[in-house]
Amino acid sequence: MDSQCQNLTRRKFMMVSSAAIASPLLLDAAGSMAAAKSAETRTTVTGIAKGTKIYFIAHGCVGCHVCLTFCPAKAIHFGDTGNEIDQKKCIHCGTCYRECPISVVSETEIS
Amino acid sequence: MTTKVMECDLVVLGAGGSGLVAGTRAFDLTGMKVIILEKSRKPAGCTYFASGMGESGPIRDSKWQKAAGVKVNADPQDLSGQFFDWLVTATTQAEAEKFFSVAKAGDNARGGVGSIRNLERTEKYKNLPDHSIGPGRMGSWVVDHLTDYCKKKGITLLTETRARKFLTDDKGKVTAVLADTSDGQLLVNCKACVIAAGGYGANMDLLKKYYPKHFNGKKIHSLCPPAMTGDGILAAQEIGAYIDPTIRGLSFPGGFFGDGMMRHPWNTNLQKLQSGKCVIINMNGKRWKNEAGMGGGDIAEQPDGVACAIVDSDIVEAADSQQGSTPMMGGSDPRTIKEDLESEAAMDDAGASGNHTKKADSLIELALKMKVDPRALVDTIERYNKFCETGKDPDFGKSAQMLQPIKKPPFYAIFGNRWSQSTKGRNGIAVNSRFQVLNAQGEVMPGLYAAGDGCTIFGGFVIGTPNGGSDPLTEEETAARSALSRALAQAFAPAPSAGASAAPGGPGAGAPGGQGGAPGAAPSGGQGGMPMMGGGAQNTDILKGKSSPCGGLGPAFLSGYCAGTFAANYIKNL
Repeated sequence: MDSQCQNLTRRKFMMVSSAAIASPLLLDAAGSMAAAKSAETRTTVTGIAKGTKIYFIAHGCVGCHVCLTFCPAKAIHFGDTGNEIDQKKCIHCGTCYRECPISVVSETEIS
Repeated sequence: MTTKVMECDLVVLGAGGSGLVAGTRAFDLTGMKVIILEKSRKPAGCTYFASGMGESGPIRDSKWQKAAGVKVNADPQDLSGQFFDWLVTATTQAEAEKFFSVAKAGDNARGGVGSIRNLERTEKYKNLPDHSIGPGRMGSWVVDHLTDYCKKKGITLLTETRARKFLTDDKGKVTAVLADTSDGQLLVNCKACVIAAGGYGANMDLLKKYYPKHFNGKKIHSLCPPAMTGDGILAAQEIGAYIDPTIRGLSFPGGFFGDGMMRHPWNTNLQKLQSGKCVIINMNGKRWKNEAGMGGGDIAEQPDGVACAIVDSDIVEAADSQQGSTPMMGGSDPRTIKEDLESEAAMDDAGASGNHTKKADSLIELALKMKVDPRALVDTIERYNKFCETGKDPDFGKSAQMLQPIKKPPFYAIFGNRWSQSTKGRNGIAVNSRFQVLNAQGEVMPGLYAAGDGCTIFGGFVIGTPNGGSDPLTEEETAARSALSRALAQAFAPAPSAGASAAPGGPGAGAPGGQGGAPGAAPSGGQGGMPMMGGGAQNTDILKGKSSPCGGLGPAFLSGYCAGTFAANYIKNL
């Protein structure tokens, strides 16, 4: 599981960032939802138990640090293009998802 | 796909500052059935990050100020105090007292003694590491409290519900709003609608359409919540609302916070370096303007929309030794400018994305790091240093006291770029002084109201800093605003119960240039004295781009307050 998690970088997810965006209602292109279900996404996240919810900070983060402040696992840091979640430290509690004022944290359940 | 149907008196699009105020105000006045639709997962809007109304745009003559013996404003038509008193009752006195106070002598409040201040962050957000951004001040306080109010009073607030289309009857009156939800569609039948769905700061297509030069394909950092895609504006346009295509405002926000994602925390003290005691060059290594009078729009017009402020260690030291930093967002960063530049430069050296700050011991090395022609940079700086010796800048006329040589290593180059944020009414929905939406002929569209960033209440206002600071207004703008403020206040004065929104003849029919109020009457002169109530212009003023707003989040709240009042009265008198 560990080595798989290491592959799960933000950058990879930025490739499907539109899919990972918090709410589908924020999306304009219907096509971007399809990307979420692409084979690539599935391979990237294999190794995480089915039913686990994973969280990503998607495109549009303004860097307000609310998630970082509230994260109980201290798994969020300020990155190059916004706040980033360290997937190795993440405890999948969803605090960031609930607290983000602008709904850019996505929640994806591994199926 | 399933379509759910709901019925209400008033539907409000958007649960940000203006939408929540409009909805709760309308409910408060009449107890009518109100539904608020919000696209994101939670109510917030741009307002959630806004710092303070009491601080940056004065509240006048509220009961609190009267009780404290402060006479802030002699103008009885000013609505700001009335609004604030309503806000306090709409939340609770006890809650409000925890957060607001009237500034006394010695308090560090931007509005000065007697202003309503809220310098401390709320309990929930007090541990946020960055004073320059984030919730916890008046914006989020109001949003959170009004959200609670909605829950308590049974005002329906639906999140993840994106209104996208108006349905009208054969006379063009809005009868329903169609919205997308996570599992289908929602049709909300209504008697009236307040559009408070924000601007288009996150809609690159619209930004490029209205600001082709500024958004030329290069990456910009958006300080605008991604939900701000102008849905309300586009939906209103579809049924004939007039969207002013002219670009108002002289510049678009930008600044020396890096080329790429704006890093946080950033030291707001860096702004001191922008004040002009530096050399600002474009990527050709050339100065192009007097640095002392430069704005974000100036950067945008340079090659690739990027510029650099060059400073040496003397300038940094001098700026660091200056006393009293600007109380921006109510706090100060313990880091010095030097520390800030060092950490930024280290991140750049370590290969972070974008260009933020470059540091070098020689100008040539600096130029190489900046990817600017070293000869051009050295020539520019040498020429500039000569101007500093003579005290005269024949190229761009910079004043002697701003001329300070770039001599002492290490040198720093701070990259500048533009950013997008809420569009503050630029190219928004045209409204009259009763916040009724107007069509291209200047006629009122019955039952349709607009407030906040998505309507022209803010007019051509240009904000200079990410959290709602402001550029100085011209005398003409100040005078126009003053007049408009009066026009609105007059319209409001006999209300809030007298059916003020009956649209007598359509305000749009006014003679061109006719301005109702008294142009030039008592221009309040400068930021400090601006009337709280900006905008809400007569149609003729809006069409000419003369509507005149005020800064901070006052206009968002107050336009919502007025739109809610007018819409409620409209429905009551149907």
